[in-house]
Amino acid sequence: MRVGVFVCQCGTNIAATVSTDKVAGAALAMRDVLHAETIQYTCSDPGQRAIVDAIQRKSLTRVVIAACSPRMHETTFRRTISRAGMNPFMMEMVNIREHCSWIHSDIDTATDKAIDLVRKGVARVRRQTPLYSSTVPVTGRVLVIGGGVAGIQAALDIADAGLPVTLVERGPTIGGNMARLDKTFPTLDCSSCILTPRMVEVKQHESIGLMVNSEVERVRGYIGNFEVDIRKKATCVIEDKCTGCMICQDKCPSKAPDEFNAGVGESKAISIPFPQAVPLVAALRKEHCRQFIKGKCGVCKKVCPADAVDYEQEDEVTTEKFGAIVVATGYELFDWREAYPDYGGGRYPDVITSMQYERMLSASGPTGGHVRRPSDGAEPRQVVFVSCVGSRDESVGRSFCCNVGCMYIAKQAILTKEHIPDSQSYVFYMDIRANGKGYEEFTRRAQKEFGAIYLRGRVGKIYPSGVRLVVMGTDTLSGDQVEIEADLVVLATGFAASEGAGELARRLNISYDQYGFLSESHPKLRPVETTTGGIFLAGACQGPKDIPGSVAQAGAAAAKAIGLLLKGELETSPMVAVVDQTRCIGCFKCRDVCPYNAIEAVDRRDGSQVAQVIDSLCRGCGVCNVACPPAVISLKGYTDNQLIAETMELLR
Amino acid sequence: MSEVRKGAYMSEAGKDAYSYFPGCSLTSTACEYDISFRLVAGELGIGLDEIEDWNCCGASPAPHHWGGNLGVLLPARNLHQAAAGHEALVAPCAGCYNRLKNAQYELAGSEELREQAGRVLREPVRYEIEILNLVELFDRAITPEALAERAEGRLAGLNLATYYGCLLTRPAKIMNFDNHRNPVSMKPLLRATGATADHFPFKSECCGSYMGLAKKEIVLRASRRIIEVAAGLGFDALVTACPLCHQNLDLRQGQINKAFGTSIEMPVLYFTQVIGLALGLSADEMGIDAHVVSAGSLLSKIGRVAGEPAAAERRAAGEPAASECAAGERVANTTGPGS
Repeated sequence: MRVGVFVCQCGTNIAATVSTDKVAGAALAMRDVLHAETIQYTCSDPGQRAIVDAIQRKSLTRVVIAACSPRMHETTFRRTISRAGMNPFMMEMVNIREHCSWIHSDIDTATDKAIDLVRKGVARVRRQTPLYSSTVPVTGRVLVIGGGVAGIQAALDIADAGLPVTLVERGPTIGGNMARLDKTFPTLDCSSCILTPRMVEVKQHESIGLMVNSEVERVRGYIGNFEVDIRKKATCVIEDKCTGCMICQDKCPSKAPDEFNAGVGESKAISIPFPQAVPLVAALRKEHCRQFIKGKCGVCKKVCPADAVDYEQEDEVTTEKFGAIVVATGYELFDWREAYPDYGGGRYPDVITSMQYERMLSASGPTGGHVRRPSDGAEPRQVVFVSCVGSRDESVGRSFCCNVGCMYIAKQAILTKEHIPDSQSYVFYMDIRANGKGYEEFTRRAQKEFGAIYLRGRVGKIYPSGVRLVVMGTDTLSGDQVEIEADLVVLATGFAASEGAGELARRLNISYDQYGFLSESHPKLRPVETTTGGIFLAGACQGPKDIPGSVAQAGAAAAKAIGLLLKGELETSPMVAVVDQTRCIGCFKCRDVCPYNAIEAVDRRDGSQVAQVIDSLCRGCGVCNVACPPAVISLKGYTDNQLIAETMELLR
Repeated sequence: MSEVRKGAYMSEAGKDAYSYFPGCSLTSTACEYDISFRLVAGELGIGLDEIEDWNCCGASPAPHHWGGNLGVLLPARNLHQAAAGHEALVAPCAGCYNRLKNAQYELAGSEELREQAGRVLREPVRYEIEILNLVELFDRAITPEALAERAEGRLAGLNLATYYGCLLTRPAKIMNFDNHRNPVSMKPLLRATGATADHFPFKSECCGSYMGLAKKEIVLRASRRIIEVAAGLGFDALVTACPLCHQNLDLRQGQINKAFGTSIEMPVLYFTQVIGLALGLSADEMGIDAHVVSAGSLLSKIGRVAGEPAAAERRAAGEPAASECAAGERVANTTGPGS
């Protein structure tokens, strides 16, 4: 057995705290080690060449590389020793950077620890046997969860590459929050004019299967081969029959909240959210429907000319296989009411959210594009915008920036002036964050051309005075207390993860942060990947984003999914469990605990049964290894012998 | 009849009663607060034992101006006295309540302070006693349902603005009472009187506090806004539980009107007085007539007048009063200058 040890200096990252020469010297004294050297940057081209040279010159059969975390470069170095003609798994990485040099300051202690870690690695690699990967076929279909602009973009990009896509949307239509916006900053493009064609494209694309009113219920499998249960909720409307004529909505006697219009105006129990909805199909909400509450009505069924209403309809669960999943579940507005009693906590009808204002500005909205005070329908003269409500405010537990508030306030102030030329807008802001292309100029225009008065400071209180509202705040630039009589107050409410995002993340086995936003694998270099292979993120589900940001990320996620699926087959990790069937007692405790259904029973010639691991399903988690009563399951590359040897070295 | 809830003490010969810390305001400028508090406590069967030989709570000067640890040591002595024979202490004055709770918090967190207090007191300081303001106290003594039954809707037609000020709830982590940004604890009992208590947006806005002595304009400006908004929103009265707030809002209302050329007339009542009115006590016996802003219009709105005889006299004259039904079963022990 001929072991070589390579100690990386990582510039000064390691060498500043660990005496790498000492570590290499100590390694030479370890059993079976006949080569040890230090390298300035092991992962660099000359660094890798040095390893290949040493392997070939000294006929090494095992390699230990003491450097950074294996999460960083294990794959790199496996390729390196492969190039030198070795089995790629005959290499062990020892982490002397994250686990040692970065967290210690005393050189002697850190060096001693590094030597211990190298000794542990040598002990382990000495017991390593060559491992060989196999391949599994990849299912050539992609699941996109969420039908907002990010999900739409990802679905279209993937489908245009020729791969079949299933787009699952929880609500009755795709379009997401962007469909609710009037204009977009900084170009003042009409939001639905640019989005609606994309929505229709989704519907018409022959490679996209669109499932609305549907939710992902269960996810099994792994990268390349996911098995997903999708629940299509009963809407009492037969989708293929409905023509979208809206007669049912006109005749329906049961009022219901209008979620699409953010509560501005009312909707009906059976309705189509908006005229450009895709698909243009009605949906019935049982909790508001007279037929279901009182047991009699039946108006919609009677008036429907297409005979599309079916009160008996039930949920349907289908199971489909996918190779990759793109999550694009978006965001919702932070519910400000509990958190801001000083702003009335929702008591004053003329204090509204930015999304409600957006619906008021929209020509296709419930007010037909006329700005009206909710309380008395009067046209406001003085409009006050309050930024950072539920953003950048630690007192309500939300310290992050919503990323778009400054911009959409500027947009709404401009639109206010366009709608009501003799109006005056006031904007209370913390800082103007306008760091996109053309953004800074846009906020200037709002002030210079459209006369919005910007006041730097927070609003302390809003209270009613006659038919108006008094907004009390501070102008921190002049140091004055400011009071403004407003007809309408628009709160720039921040972003929150969409409802149930955490629940979905748990089903997908991906991580999320304290606010429910889904976590990327690496903030810089893996921004659309999750920590689970084959699952990618797009749009505001990962954190507050504007439209261009969401679309760009969706394109990136699509590229990742396409790249994965184009391979056709994936190399599996050979580090899987193996059963010593001569000693297996057939208790199948392993099968009970396996989270991947990777263990099956096989018959022996004497009629008894023993356990067998299905290599293509096993993820190498090691749970069966621990559960096996006679201890006859082992994990390749992590055998009991290896782990015990490592431990013994550390305990020496 | 009132339901006695957990933590309320039926007083028998002074045992098991609440320790009572009146503080300086309740024996002078806010004596009507003390009087009405004792009367209502009697009606609700709350026993009160005034702390023996109590001293200044420290008020604003001790903690904020004099320096050293006087702001803790003064209230520490009161806590020490109260804890000798009681499990709970009530301080109706919001300032006293605030000082006592602050001192308790500081003492609990510092052995050095406890030792210092021990040296002053010449024995180890006792500070582990529950400190209640009177909203908390009443909340324990009677449920809103029970109060509603006794109040018989006497205050129906009034819209009362709850005014908490700052001292009852801030700093939040020490006071640990109600929501400091949106306090609501007075509401259930006030509503039980038959009155409405709409949301008052200025309920925890600063009244100007003790700046009345050093820089009066600050108080006039701050308090003006509170009463003006209350009047603008159509409230019949402000309800407070703080003598200093009361002073700024009531006593200085004339000064405010003079300074700003306004003519606001906004009665300011103590929480105790409102509960008392609901229980059938007369305005005069609770000292409502001692306020600077007349509550006459408010009283007439609920069919009451100034100058009506005290509840006890009416009872003696055989006139039925709602509060009478349970009176025989409760013996209130009120000691101190009020009794």
